[in-house]
Amino acid sequence: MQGKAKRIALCGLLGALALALSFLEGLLPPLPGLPPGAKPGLSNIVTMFAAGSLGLPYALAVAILKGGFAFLTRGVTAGLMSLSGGVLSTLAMWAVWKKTRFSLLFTGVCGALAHNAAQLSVALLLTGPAALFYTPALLLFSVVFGICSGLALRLVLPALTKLGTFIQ
Amino acid sequence: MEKRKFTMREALWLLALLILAAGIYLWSLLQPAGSTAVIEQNGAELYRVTLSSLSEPEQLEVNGTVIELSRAGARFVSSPCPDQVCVEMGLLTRAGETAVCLPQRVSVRIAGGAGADSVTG
Repeated sequence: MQGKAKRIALCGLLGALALALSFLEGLLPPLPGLPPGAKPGLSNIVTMFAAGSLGLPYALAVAILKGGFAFLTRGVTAGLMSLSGGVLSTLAMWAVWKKTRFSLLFTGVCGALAHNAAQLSVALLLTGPAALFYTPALLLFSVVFGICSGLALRLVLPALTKLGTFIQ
Repeated sequence: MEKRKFTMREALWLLALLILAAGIYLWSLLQPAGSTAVIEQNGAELYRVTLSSLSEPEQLEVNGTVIELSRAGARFVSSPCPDQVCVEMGLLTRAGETAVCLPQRVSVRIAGGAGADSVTG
């Protein structure tokens, strides 16, 4: 049972890390050339690692925690957006990482695309087809930021692997 | 979590995706100026205003947001929402350009190409 306790502790750590990263992201000034409200999605790095090392239930727990935090601090709309995006991107990254041989970069891009697809669907439900205007920008920046987050995880993975193998 | 090699096949996939996404994005930036502002709440159309018919800027209030329409285009002036994404979108001028205020469920969209102006005078 000791293994399970370690997994839960690591899951809690990763949840806190995801919250801290999304808070930091909110402090960034609007990036030039990006549509307002577009964010690099740093917490996807955390859910990607959680999906790869701890497995799907723990990764989903991180995504749900982050959604709940957005719900409490930034309101219902932000909470729904964060939750839908986080859960779908976690599912997508887990599926790509576990079921195919694609690398972290491709996994990150799939996660970012899934994140934006889920948020766009929620926006469509909330307002109507007007939200589709954002599709081209979201598509482009998903690919760019997905590559960035995959690369970021690839770079920090050697340090994180110690944690990951520690719990196996 | 093991490391995996970044293969050529994967690089080609990513490159294809990137080119496709950039192409669609550029195409969306190259739209001509629009002639009409369409304001919707909960996906239902509330107003449709021909911008060239306005002699001076006009402000509308929709579910707490304030929208300004003028010959130059349309923009959110203020909104009670926390994120202010709609206000930061600034002035919308090109056909298809849209600003959405999700918390207030209000959207402003520019419709119609430049040609419509000459028809309506």
